[in-house]
Amino acid sequence: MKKATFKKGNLQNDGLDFVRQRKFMREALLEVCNPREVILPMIQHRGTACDPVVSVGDSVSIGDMVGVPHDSSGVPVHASISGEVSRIDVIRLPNKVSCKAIWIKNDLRRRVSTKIHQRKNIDTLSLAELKKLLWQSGICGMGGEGIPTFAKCLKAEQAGVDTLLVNATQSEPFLACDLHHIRVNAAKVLQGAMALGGICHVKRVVFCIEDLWTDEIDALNKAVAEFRHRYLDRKIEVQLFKTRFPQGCQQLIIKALYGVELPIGKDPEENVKAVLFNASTCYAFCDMIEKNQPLISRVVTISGDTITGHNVLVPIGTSVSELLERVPGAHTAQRIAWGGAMTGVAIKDLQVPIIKTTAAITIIRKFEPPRMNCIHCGACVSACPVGLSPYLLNRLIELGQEDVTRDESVEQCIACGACSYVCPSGIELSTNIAKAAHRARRRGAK
Amino acid sequence: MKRKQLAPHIHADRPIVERYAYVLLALLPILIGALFYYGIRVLVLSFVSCGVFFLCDYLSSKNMYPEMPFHVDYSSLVSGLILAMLVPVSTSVWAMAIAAAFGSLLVKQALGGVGRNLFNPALAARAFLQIAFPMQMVAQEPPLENFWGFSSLFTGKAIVSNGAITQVNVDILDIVSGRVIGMVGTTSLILIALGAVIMIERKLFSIYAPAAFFAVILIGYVPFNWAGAGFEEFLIWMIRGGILFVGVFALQDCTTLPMDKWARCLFGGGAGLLTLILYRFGNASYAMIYPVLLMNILTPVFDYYIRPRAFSKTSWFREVEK
Amino acid sequence: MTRSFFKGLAIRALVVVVLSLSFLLVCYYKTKSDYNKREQAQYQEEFGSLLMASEYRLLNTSILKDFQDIRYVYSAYDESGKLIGYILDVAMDTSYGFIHTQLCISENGENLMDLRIVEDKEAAITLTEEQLEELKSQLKDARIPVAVNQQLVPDVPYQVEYDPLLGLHDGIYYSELPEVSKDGYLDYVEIEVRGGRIVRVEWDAVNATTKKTRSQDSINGDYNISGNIWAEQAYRVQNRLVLVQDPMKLAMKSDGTTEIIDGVTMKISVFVQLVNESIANSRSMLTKDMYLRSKNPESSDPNETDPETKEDVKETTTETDGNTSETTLSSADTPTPMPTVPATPTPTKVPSQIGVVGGEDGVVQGDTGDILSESVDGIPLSEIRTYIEGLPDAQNACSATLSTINQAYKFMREYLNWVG
Repeated sequence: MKKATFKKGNLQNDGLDFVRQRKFMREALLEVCNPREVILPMIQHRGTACDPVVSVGDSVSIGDMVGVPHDSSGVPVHASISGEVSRIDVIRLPNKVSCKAIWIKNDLRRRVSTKIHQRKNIDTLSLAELKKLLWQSGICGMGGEGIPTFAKCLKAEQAGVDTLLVNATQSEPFLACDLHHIRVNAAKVLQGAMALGGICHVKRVVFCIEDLWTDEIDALNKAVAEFRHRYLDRKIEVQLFKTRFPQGCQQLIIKALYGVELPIGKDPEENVKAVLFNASTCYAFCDMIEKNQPLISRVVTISGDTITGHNVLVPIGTSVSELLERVPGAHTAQRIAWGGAMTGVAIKDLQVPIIKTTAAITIIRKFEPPRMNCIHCGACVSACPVGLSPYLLNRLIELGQEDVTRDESVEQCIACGACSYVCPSGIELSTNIAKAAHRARRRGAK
Repeated sequence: MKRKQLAPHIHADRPIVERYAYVLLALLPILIGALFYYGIRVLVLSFVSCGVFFLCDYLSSKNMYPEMPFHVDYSSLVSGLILAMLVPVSTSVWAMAIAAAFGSLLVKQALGGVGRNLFNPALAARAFLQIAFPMQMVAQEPPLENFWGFSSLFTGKAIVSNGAITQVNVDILDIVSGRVIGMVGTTSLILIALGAVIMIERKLFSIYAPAAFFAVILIGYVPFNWAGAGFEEFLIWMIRGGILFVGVFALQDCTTLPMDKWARCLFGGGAGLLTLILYRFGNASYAMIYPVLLMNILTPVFDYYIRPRAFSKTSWFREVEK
Repeated sequence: MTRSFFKGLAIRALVVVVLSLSFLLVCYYKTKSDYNKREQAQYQEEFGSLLMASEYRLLNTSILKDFQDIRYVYSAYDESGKLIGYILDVAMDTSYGFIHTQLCISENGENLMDLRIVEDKEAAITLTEEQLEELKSQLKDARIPVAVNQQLVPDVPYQVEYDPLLGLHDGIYYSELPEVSKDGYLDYVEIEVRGGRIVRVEWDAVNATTKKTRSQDSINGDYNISGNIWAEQAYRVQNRLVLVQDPMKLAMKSDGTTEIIDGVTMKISVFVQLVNESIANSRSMLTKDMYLRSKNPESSDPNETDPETKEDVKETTTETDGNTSETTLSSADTPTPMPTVPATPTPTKVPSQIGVVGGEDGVVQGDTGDILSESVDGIPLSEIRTYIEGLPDAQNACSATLSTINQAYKFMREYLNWVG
């Protein structure tokens, strides 16, 4: 089968061996974390905030809904541990979102809400019931986008998409949480994807995975073979992608699959009649279908430039400090990134929760980029997956000519960090350009 | 200096200093070959060239650009060494020092320092030598003659044993090993290839410009060769004139090369065409220096017009504003 | 810039050094014998027409610095390694123009074995094939240096045409001093008259004991005077006489010297005396043979006539004009050492009455602008070993060619001296 790929940008993983790091992750066991306390922010997605429906002193069990959204662009928040609500306060998340949050103290009894039970009538669920489940599950895009899945499904339905893409290509070099789901629970990922596909009325389900992960591909193929007869009205495909970085971003996957470059502000639903879901999202939805279990935990990859990464099953809201307690080398870290190594936010205060979109915690111990002049080497130009000239944009931004950068299509920047990564002079191109791109997009939207 | 902790948090393990260090390593076989063929004097010339280049770069950059985050790198050494490899062994120390200072101060630092120079400093310094000391820039001394020859270190007079034949007929092994009269570092095919291999191994070698350069030269050799010289003679001409060396090393100087690969192809092709023109109408020294320098002028133009096409733009040429 | 980086760099550097050195050495030893063979083949191609040898070696001598006209000299060896000759490449700017020749000279530096004219410059003098053949046949195994007969008439066209003396008869005339001078030499002068003009003058002296000529000794350094060597000074005087025809016009002063001839500082009184005698012989048609017979009826060779004649003081005056101490030193080397040289000249026969012409001492009337004292290519006439007829249709080219030959001769003289 032809491997899908796109032409622009290809990082050489020299120095830091991405592939080797991720293979270690594959071998490492999945740990389950049982935190003493969780912090549940009311905005963990892209949309409007929820309202806390509990008060301090309330006792909650796993799966209880503690935050209720106003409208369809919000997603409900569920308690991820059982215990007592100790505090409700405003928190500022590293992604610069300020919102209310609920602190729950763990009673270590793992009391599970009565709602969570093995569902009997999985195959006979109606579309309306599925939609309701999706809304109740509190799932939002778990690859980092954070768009409420319910809203996305509605939009896809309206747009009349015919293809559902399951994104198992990792967008960051040290990320392996989606791959973990594919490897361990390919059938569940497939079932979740099928359910989502049912909601969106798709004719075709495509699993996007990099060609390097042979075990995962085997597992996926096995699951497809097993479930194909149950979904005869849909085509199920496994599409291999060439292993490269950056990849896994929506624009780039669409480019690789369809050869279509998405304009700014346009979604794949309208342009190519396809909807993209993360593998983790599908898995979470399958949990909801099978056990009526809302999104209360997720797999987080803990990795770093010098440590061997592994995946941890973490209740949503666990603080980073608690998560890192048992990670060797974390306390000597130079910096800890909330998110992947390329796009994550460095955090100083470790009392930050893991939210639904946090795919990784990255521990950086050796980060000494040089500080030098631009030598015009062109590495950033060849690394940029969307074909920008980062050195030029950065220079223009430095010179205060941001209006000129719009002629250079600065708004196309996907903030993948590739340019900064490759820059031999250690110039912080990505941050500057991503900010300018954000401003340009906002101005363009107005 | 405390830096903000900005994404990305990892970095490719390839700082400039290492990059230049490996270019120096790639020049090492050339230097060894020059030492082998032309004696210890090459070492003196290289030291003078590199030293002057480094000192001028350091002092002027420190004074002219105090805001720059660093003032020491190996690019000076690379330029100095390339310059030292591009001269005949009879070059005087004074000429060498003056040319290195010219290359550093006027070509590199005056235009903005590291990474902002328009012209390749080593080649520009070599062009300066060609203009200012044309008598010293004629390669006359045959290789393997005197190893400890220091006699005209300061006068720059060629120690030529006035033979009846300036060059023994070369066979292919001589061309490969470099036993040909020429600039000190430019003659050995195999050592230049070794240097290229090192750069390729360290992924420092951008193939586009050299490939286009040599492709144009090899293809254009046929129509340009209306004098009917044999191919072996042409090869010797290329080696003696240092065109091979320039094609491998000077076309790797990313500062003075365009960024895009197609622009690099155009650059290399243009340089190859100019080389052929100079092969017909000029002499080998010019053919070594000037094509790349002339194409350097076009580098900003290439950079402006030829670039990767951004997403959802229709043309990879810059859309010129009306 | 980590340790691993430096480690990688060092390892690679080591590999590179080893690789490149092995490449170079392998190539060097592989090409070495072949290279020499190719080199000799190239030489054979280049010089084979002149002198075929199995090995040509470039001569590396400091003497070459004094001979800028000589581009290179090769010594040629046969298979057994015996020296068989020298090959010289001479490119000169003669007064006739630029000429570039390649000469082959025998191993003793005496004979010209072959020559070739290289046409490597636009304005270079060349000869046609026949002319060159003719010249070669004339020069066949000639001893060098070589001069053309007409060349004795000075090189440059006359500015003033001097009238010949009246009453001269054609032929060769000779005169010599009656006695051997103090330094052991017997002076003689030979003139050749053709068409009423003096066309050749030869002034030399023969050592009474060693039978060597004074010019030869002076060239060899055994006979030293101040200024130019004796042979050159003598040559210049001869040359000037050929030009001006009249010994009066040499403007000899009362002390025996002259000022009008460049490079001549010695006393020429003996010369003037002998020339006058020869001219008188010519007028009286007393040819050389007759002269010698009349002088020494028992022997025809003047050199052998006067071994017992002693103490000619006039030549000693010439001597003392130079450095006495030098003379002493040099005379120590001569086969007939002179322990003492009389410091006081005895002007017995100084013919001052001949030398002084006109009112003032050393002044010649009427001739100016004849600064024509150059010898034949700077070689005293006395040293010239071969005279050839030359090429009537290409005089200048012939002379230029001979100039290069003579330049080569000068080099060989120096070089063989230096070697031996």
